[in-house]
Amino acid sequence: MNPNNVIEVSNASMRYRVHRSRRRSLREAIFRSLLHRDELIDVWALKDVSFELEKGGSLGVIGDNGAGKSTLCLLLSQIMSPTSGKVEVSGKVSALLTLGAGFQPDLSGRDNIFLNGIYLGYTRDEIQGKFDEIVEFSELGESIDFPVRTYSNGMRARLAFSIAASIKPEILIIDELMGVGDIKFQKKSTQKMKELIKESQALVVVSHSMGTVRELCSQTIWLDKGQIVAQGPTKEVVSKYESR
Amino acid sequence: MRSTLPNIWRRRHLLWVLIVSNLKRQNKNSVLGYLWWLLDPILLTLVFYLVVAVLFRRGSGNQPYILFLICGLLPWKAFSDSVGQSVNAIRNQASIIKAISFPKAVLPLSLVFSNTFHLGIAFLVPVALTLFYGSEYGTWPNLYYLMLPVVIGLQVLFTIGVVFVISALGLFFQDTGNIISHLLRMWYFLSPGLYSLDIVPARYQAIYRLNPFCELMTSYRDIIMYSRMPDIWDLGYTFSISMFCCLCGYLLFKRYEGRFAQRL
Repeated sequence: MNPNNVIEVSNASMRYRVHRSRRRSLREAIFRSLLHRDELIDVWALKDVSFELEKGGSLGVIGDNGAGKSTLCLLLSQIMSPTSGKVEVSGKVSALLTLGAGFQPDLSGRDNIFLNGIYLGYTRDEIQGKFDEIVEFSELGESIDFPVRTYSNGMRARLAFSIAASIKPEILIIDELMGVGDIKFQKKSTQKMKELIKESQALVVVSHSMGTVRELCSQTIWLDKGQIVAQGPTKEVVSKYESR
Repeated sequence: MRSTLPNIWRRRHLLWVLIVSNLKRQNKNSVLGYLWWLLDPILLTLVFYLVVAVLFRRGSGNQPYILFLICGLLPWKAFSDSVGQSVNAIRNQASIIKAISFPKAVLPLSLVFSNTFHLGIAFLVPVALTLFYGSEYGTWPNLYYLMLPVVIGLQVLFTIGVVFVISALGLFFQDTGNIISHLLRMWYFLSPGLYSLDIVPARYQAIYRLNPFCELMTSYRDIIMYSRMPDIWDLGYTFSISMFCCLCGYLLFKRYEGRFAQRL
């Protein structure tokens, strides 16, 4: 890996095997493997995708629905590994993808902050240091000691965002720049996201809003059906995309 | 993030927190709370005791049967709870696996360790029983208790191997849960849990003793009931088979964990 790069993706392909039914039973698996008649449908969410992102760079990812943008995010945040090819990322990745995933409903908001932080690889002390900031930003007040299952959707979203936002990212991956919660909190969270973007050393933004991509990203790739249609300076790629 | 040993070590805090939250969660909403750590093993033992000793009038002999029973039953409970819970260990955490990158091995591992903690607490019951029977049968607590952590350690090693395999299988095949519960029951009856090793016909002994739980249960009884050193060769055999299982399970889990997120 080139030391100036934080992300290197070379010939990455991602195949989803879609079964006729979602999960096979053991009987079916044995039966089918004997008959060699597995009804699998291969879906290539990404095909032969290559790009680099250097330190300090910012990359926009655009494309229609189903182009493979979310799969790319999952690969970059190392939640999935590519079927073939290589995805190399150096540095701590913070992905604002699925907020609030993995909350344990029976544990208190307080315990969940620690649990979430620890899943992300922080120690108890590190989280303790951020704890007050998280609670204050989430505006949960005393509710922080109630079980998360008693929270409203808004409270849950606020807590999730506050945890994610407390991380000082090296590489920040954002799937659509959007605020959460009520209007007041939306403003506050969008503001916070912009701060995070400033602090990050490298940025990947997936968005349908060309305005956002123009504003934040110097480089852009355009994906269609898993393949790169165009890549280069944002101005050129976005205008190509808009004028097709 | 792959479950390589350095990565698991890096996320040891996560492993620790998962163990604690396993322990907390089970008792959070119950009236008797942490008392269940003792009540669970006591009630389980009583049920088996009633069936075998009172209903079928078996298992007397020259030692207190309830002590004989409990020395095999509690370790077995720790094993079968771990294996049973591991079937859904990955699927239960689907949302977090799809959102955060971490070595998935911590999920089955945390189950093994929290159940081992339960076992440690539960062992207070047979120790209390030895005091009760002490004057009659001479079953006092003794220095060989120092060997208990070794035997438990071997069991943990073996359990980890099995749990790695079952948690991966459980994700890919939904029927794993159904099969496992029956296999576990059969496995218990094929281990010297309710009866002693002597009633197994001599010509089957060699095969019968391949089951690591044969050696494990015998060792627990040697220490707690008979105040003697477990057979060192048996322990050696158990160590080799546990190590082998642990290694195979680990390699299999590591090989397939890359597909977990896709499968959920």
